[in-house]
Amino acid sequence: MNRRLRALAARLGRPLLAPVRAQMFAWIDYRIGLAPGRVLATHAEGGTAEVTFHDVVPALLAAISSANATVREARRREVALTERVDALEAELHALRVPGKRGGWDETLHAA
Amino acid sequence: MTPFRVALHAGVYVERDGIGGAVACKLALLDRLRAAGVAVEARVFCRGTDMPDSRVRVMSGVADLLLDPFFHAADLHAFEFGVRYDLFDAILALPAGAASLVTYHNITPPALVPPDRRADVAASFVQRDNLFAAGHVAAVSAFNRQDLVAIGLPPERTSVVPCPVPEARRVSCPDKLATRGAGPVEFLFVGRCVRAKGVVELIAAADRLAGAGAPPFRLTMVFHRAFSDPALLAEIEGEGRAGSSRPWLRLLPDATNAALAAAYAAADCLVIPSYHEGFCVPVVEALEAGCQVIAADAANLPFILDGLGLLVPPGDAAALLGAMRRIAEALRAPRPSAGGPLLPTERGPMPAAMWTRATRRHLRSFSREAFESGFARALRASLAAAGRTVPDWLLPGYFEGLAGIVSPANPA
Repeated sequence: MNRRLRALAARLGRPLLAPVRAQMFAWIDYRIGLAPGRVLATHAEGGTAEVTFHDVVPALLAAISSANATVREARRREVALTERVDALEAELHALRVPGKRGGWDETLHAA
Repeated sequence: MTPFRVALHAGVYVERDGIGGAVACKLALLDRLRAAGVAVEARVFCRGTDMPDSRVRVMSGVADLLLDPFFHAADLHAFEFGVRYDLFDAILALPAGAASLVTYHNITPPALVPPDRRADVAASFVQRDNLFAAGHVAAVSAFNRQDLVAIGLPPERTSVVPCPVPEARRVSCPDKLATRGAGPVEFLFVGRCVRAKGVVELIAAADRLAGAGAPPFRLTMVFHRAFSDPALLAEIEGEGRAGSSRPWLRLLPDATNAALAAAYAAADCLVIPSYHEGFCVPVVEALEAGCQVIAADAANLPFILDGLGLLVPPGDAAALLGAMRRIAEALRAPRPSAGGPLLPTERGPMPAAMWTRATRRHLRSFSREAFESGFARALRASLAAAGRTVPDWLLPGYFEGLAGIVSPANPA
């Protein structure tokens, strides 16, 4: 995904995600009052690239959607992992507390 | 006066489709509001349609959508989402101040679709995160809302707004089972003919029912040929021809609305052994038509059935056979009272007359009135999320009057 974003960014002469997003909105503003079919030349690595509104916008929106999903999925996994660790810790804590079901009961073993 | 503009977005807008039906009932509401004098204007943006409606715009892609003047002028964007479509990415580039609402129809799990469709499903799960960009998300079922909360959407930004059954498919014969004659028990299946709908188990259960000395029965299968599994269909159609080993099987491919309505009117019991349903319109249609229902205990089916039929574990042909036999025997048994046959349900055995009353109460949640009140609440929530003022015509109480909604709180 990052490679795809970087490639798109390179076509627009912008290296990072946030400027890419800003660039997309600039493109959307640009088409207001101008011909959207106009080809815009941008400086990219290795020379000039020509891109149109129809080239750039769908790919950028899909890339942003995909990047958002990746970030949220990572957060969801982190939360799920934290919850599992918390549950495991609670279980371990219960095992150490005297008198809890399944736990070590010192009153029974003292004799 | 500037009208309130609503842009409705869907992948495709076609008849006899759950998402198409959701768009149609929103358009019908906006039409009725216009007829009542409300300045409201609507457009449908999609990638394909079979609906002859001048308000429908077929886009060649999301860039075209972003170039449409109505897209920029719209006060509210209402998206449908159940499978990936590029126009849904426009939610990430809405003009400043525009309100957004998504109706969520759920995504079929990858394991339940053929291998050649799994990439689409994976892309749909990625695009599902666009829901976080919406001001409000209305799930079509309680099960779908659970799905939204599970992925981390704040519950207060979600609601349940079930879609009503389209008028053209509505059959009302609620007392049918109470007054049923002595003919063979009529089972009905409505859906795509694919393995994920439990079709293989259904045929297996019916085969065993036919060979087990059970009361005489017939199984009618209504399905879309284009959306069915060709190999499975060929196998079933081979057996469904006249003179085959399954004289009890009747196939109705690509049935018209009238033929489907006739099938519901003739049926005693709908059988939906599907492994996954985000909503399941046929269950509502069947209950409206006075049919008992056997469904798989999966996804939204237990929610939508609400104990008024029988549930069986998904993929369990023996359990399905048992449920079909129980229904067949109940319908053919001598009548214990004037209340009609004693129907087996998840709530316990119910006399048919009592079952009819309980079904009518349950179906109020799926009425046009319930949908429109719920949709109006979702619109208000979307406008509030965008920091916009709710127009007078959408205010609670006033809206119901304009939309012609009759309820106990708002009598005609």
